[in-house]
Amino acid sequence: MASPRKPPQLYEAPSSTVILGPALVWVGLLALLAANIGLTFLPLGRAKTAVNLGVAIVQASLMFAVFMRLNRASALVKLTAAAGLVWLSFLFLIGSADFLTRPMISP
Amino acid sequence: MTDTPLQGGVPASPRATERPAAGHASTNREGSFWQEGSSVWSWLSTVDHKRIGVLYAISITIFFFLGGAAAGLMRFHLFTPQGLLFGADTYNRLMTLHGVVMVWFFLVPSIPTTLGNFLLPLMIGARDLAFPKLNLMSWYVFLAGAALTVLALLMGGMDTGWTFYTPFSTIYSNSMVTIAALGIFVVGFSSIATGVNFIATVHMLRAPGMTWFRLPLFVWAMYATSLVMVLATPVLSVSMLLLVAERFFGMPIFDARLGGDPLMFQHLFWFYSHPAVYIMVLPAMGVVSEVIAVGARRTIFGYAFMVYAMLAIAGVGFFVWGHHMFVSGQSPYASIVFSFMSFVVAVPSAIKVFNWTATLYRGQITFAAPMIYALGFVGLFTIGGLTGLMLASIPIDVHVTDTYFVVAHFHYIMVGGSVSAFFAGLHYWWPKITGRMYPEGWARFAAILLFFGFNFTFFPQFVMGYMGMPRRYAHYPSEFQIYHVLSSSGAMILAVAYLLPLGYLAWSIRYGPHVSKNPWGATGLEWRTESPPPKENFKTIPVVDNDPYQYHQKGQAPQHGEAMHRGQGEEGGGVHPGSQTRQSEPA
Amino acid sequence: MSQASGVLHEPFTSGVRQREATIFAIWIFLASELLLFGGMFFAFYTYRHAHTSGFDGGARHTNLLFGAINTALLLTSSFAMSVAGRALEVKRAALAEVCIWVTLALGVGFLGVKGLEYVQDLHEHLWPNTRFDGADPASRIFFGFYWTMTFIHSCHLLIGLGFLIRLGIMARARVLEANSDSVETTSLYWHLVDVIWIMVFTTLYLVGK
Repeated sequence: MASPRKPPQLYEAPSSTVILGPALVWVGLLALLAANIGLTFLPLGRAKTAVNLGVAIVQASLMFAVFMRLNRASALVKLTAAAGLVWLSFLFLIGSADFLTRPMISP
Repeated sequence: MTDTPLQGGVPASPRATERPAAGHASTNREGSFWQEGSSVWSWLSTVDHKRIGVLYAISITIFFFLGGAAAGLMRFHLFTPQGLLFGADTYNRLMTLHGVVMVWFFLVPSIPTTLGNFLLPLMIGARDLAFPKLNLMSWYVFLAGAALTVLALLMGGMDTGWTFYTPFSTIYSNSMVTIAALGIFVVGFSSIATGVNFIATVHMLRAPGMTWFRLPLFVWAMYATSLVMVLATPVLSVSMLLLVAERFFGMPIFDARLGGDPLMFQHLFWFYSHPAVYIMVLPAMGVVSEVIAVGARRTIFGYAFMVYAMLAIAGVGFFVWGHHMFVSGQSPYASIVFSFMSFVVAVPSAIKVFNWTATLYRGQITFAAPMIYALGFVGLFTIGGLTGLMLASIPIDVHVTDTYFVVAHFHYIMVGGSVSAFFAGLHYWWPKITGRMYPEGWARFAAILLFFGFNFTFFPQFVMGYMGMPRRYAHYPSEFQIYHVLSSSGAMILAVAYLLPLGYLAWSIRYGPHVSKNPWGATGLEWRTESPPPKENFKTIPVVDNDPYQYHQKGQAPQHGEAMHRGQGEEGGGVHPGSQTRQSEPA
Repeated sequence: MSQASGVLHEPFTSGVRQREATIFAIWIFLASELLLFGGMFFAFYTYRHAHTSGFDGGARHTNLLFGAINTALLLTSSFAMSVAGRALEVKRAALAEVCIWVTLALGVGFLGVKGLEYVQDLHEHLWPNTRFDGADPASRIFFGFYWTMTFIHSCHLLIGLGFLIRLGIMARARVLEANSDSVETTSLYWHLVDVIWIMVFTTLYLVGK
């Protein structure tokens, strides 16, 4: 184990962004949470699932982008995160190929 | 072969490097990684990738012979239609033991965690994997998963088959499914840790000049394998968790009586377990690419296509899992898609077979043991692949589902393919790992015996499977006896072919002749350091200034008389194209 | 992400490179975690498509109040964790330490609320055995998912708490800055666990209500 050394400071973040940036996102996340709960009790019919999930995805994206700093991440890291989602979509898309078409055969 | 004079005036006949079998003071291990502490604790706490590779090798060897013993017992039992040894229940448990142990505790970790761990940093010119402690942790996680599975075996074993299909595994089976499933869940994290480590290492720690398209194909194979490990294994983990949730906690997730769908388990299971086939065979392809290039002294044919083919296999391999479920009640529309994708994934595999064959063309081929194993791989893999195409076609699959035809098919890929390649790699890099040469005569004998024993065992299974002999039965109608007797006899030959290397490789650790840095005259950074390598791998990190596999001048065939023999290419092999011509000059 | 690691470990020779590799590696693991939970979500939504009324009937039994409080707790904990990482980068180690303890406390609070909710669920016979309180058999499957998903999520949270305690000890020993890699990886893992909770909460508490 090498001895501790002074990490080179590659960029200077002004102190205000330490709290202010995340705080704004935090407020936004809580507002979205409230909105999502509110939307649950609106008569949206069949669109409700999509609306609920849509709000959740916006919340998740905010977390990914700001809290997890994908917005400032290297292309490689962005690609890695995308790979997880893309492979997840393989599971959903190809898996659904069975479940969605099965009723067409045996109603 | 040529009489290449070596530095130090040692004659270059294959036996020439043999010094009086010292057996004791292994001089060229001075300063090697073997010498960095000899206490048990120094091994159990090591973070050296080479030592961890050795630890893994010991662990998976134990599991290989455990699974092999189960297979041997089963084959012996099947000499007669009524069975010789045990009842149906014991047979089911042995069959499950064989499958679970071989798949998760031997085949999946086999090449990546042993040869991969040992060679990946050496091949890219790094001092270690990116996260040495994570590497050690993965071995302990492997041991924890192994311990759980062994515990399940000691408590009576499982009778579900390695696939754990619901509802049998959740509701009906009276065996240790929960513990075994947890063992598999745990060992999955060992796989993921290895995958994360390999990917990060290949991205971050390549030596100066080691660009992506200068990577040896073995490194590409490890990279592609790691991608599959990282992206597929978690889905196996979750399918095992859901299985445990239903079986142990009573969560009715796959319970068809309430509207649950047992096919959901199969989808999740095969989302991992089909790509897992590529976890087993991609590393084998990497090994074989290395061995065939040096064995034919030929630049690999179509390097870039070899790379693309491996990445394509890793990617498309995720779209084909439903071909395991053609008769399960899956939607026929989905089956058509899965069938089509299964044909598609055969294309990159075929490209690779074509390229290996083309690499041999106008090469100077010699038949050292690794080359025999590698050529065996190409032939057996081709048969396995072509029968795979038959199975990808729905009508044939419906006919032969759950017969010995399927058993023979995947054994051709996994045993004929992966295990042959594992032995090829083990022999090829044995001098690098131990600093000693294995006995060539015995090794060739074992390689040829493996090829014959394997075909003897599994070819009859194609025939009887096609005739309708179902798999996983302890008894069978007497008209199949001739095939079962052939197969069981072959299995006994195969057992000898597996036990032989255990004996002579162990012998060579103490008594084998010492070798130089580069006994095969091979290219590649791992041959530019000592045999065995020092703890830090390289005294100074090498700089790479040439493409891989430069065994001859570009545009020319290798010169007559150049061949893969021990004692050739003392200095860096074909790393510098100029040195090749020098070495090939007859004395 | 352009910061450098505090302490170098073998085989790295550059702090910037080591940080890059660490962040990359933890993201590979997170992608893998996404697929682990993704498998459960795939199963859930596939079943819900087939048994919509039974699943929605189950969803009406989940306690929205507990769920919402827990979501707010975790979102706040993510905020604190995020501040911790950023504070460390501008050498405000004291602020970082406070934020780590706050994150830890909120995580423990989550588990406490979850425990209360579990007690209430058991009281209402929502454990999906034969004494299950619900007419539609598919509601039992819903609660199969409810218990499995929330339990596996809580296990992840527990692991995250373990890492946070480790960070807390480092902060006490004044070696947090030297271990900034650990702060980054713990933080990313913690955020992912929270992202997954957002999806779990929406799926189990909101979608079917």
